[in-house]
Amino acid sequence: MIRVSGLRKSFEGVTAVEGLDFEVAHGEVLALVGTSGCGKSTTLRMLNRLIEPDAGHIEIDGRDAREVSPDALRRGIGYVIQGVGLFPHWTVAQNIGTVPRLLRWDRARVRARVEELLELFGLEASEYADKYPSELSGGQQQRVGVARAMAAEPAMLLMDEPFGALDPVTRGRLQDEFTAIRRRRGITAILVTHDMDEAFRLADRIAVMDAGQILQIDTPERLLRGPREGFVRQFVGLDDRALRILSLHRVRELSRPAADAPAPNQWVSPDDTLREAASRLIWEAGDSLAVVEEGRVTAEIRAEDIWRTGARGAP
Amino acid sequence: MREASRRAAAVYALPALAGLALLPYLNFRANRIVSGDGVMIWSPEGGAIIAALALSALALGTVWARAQAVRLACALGALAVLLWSVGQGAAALSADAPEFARVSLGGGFWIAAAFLALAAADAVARMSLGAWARISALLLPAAVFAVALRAGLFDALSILREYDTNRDVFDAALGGHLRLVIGSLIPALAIGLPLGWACFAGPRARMVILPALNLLQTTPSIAMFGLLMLPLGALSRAVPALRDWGVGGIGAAPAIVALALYALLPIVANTYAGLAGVPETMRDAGRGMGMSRARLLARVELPLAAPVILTGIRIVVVQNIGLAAVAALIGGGGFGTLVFRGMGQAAMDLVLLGTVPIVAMAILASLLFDVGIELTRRGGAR
Repeated sequence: MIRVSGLRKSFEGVTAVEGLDFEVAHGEVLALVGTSGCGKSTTLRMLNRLIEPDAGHIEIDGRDAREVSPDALRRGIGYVIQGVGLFPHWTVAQNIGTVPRLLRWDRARVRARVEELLELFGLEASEYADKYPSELSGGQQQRVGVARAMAAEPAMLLMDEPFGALDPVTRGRLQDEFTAIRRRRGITAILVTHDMDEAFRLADRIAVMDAGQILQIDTPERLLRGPREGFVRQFVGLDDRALRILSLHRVRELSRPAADAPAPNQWVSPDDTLREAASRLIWEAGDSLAVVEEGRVTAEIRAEDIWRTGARGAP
Repeated sequence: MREASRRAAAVYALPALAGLALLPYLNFRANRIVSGDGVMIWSPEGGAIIAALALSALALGTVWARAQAVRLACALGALAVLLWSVGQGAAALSADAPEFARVSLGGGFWIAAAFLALAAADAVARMSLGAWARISALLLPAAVFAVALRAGLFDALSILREYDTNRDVFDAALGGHLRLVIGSLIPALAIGLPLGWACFAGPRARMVILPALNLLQTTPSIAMFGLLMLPLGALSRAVPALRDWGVGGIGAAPAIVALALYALLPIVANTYAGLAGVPETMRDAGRGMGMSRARLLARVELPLAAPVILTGIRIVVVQNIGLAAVAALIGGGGFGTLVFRGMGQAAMDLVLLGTVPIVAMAILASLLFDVGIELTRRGGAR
């Protein structure tokens, strides 16, 4: 649980962040979005005191962040920096073990944690533990970067454009992986991004920032359905909001019972988004699709239900 | 690629052969200071025609060969034949000569030896070996040469005759030279590394330190030795106890101080450049994960800056191995003693006896640092 109130910072008289208040519940992911220079990175760096705020209050799990020494505070907060920032002269295992070693975990415990994390991120420990970062692909480096931040089981993760420098396909795959790991492990995180799609994909709530202030903080769906005037409307992008809303929902939410049968040519799985289902329906010019699990039809989804979900005023 | 390496080989092999064809490879002199008569490599009292032919064949082999390993073998073989025929020739020439007669190395030898060594180095470079393989490819022939030297193959040469008569001076000079180089390096590192860090940590410190060191670097070495004699002389008079430690206006102390001062700029500048070259994301990551400043410096910044810092130290060591020769002028010892004594006596062989070890030390130091730099780059810059 993170509670931020009245956070303010200015650099040489220029206000960077002004009167910030927000809370992040345990297990929640909050995205800070906005254009460059809106103060989102500054906010993130104030949370682990890489930047000292001028005023305001930061409370992490009930403790005032100023009561702890900066180094001790940071060891308890996972930090995924922009541009990965793996140490090139250390192996993957040494990189991931950075914070545990700072916390003086014994060797065996560090090793075990490294192997556990590598496995969690789909990297074979025997193959990757002793490689150097330069021997990894961009996507693998990002995975190791996130694994390193999670190494000492921190209370929360701060992620500054964690998947920024990747090609769209790899980025999408890593976002899915992150969501899957979240579901398994429960991660509390604050994520900075300028990519609205990334925020919609990863965050439970989104804070839209401009000129050092939070203009609106809400769940993705409420942000899409009821953006405040001006910058938020523009930034959220209302042209395809119906489709964006659909991408926030899964097929299983709308599936209706159907007779067991072998899988037809066109189908969706329960974990696909409604957006994918809608796209397939438009392509097929159909009005319903089979929902298939393990090669058998288990349910069906109807076009009218999907359209209703994406419509104005839907619940 | 092969054409390029062939052209390069020709650039080395042809001058080597031309040098031997046009200039004497040995000089025979009635005594150590008169100029002598040249002896060509194919002359009967010299290495004889067979050696000349073998050498030519091997030198041309470096051009003809396809594999770099064969080129290396040819170049080293030619070098071996050259050295062998020099030893044999000198022995044959001095066998029935009077005691004062001297056989010294001629221009043809120096040119051929230099170009053949270059051909060997070129072949090694083109093999793109790892650091250790590279160093053994160059140290192995050096070891063979050392064994031949110990076995007395070159004893008839004037440079070794000079060594024989100046053995004590030579051994003292070797120790003195090493003391000057190492003795100046340690304080230079102790002062230079923190200064380099200070330059990195604060722009204000940098704006004072770097210009001051630049000024220091431009002071001519002899002037520097002279300038240091006064304060150090005064110091040893004021605190006589220091004299027991060898501190005085002349001797090794001012030389070590001067060499350490010359070493400062490359060490400070490279330490600063190395630390400044560490990407900001590294510091951000380290600090953001809760590393203390000291730990960040020791575990992240210094290891990442190491190749650049070591390059600076390498410059300093090679530079000071050469500069230390001048220390002999103020009684600082080292191989300069032999050089200046030789110049005083117009005995070029004695000058050579002082110069060759300096060059050899510089090359050896340079090679060792190359390996060190490459090893610190591992992981880092790949």
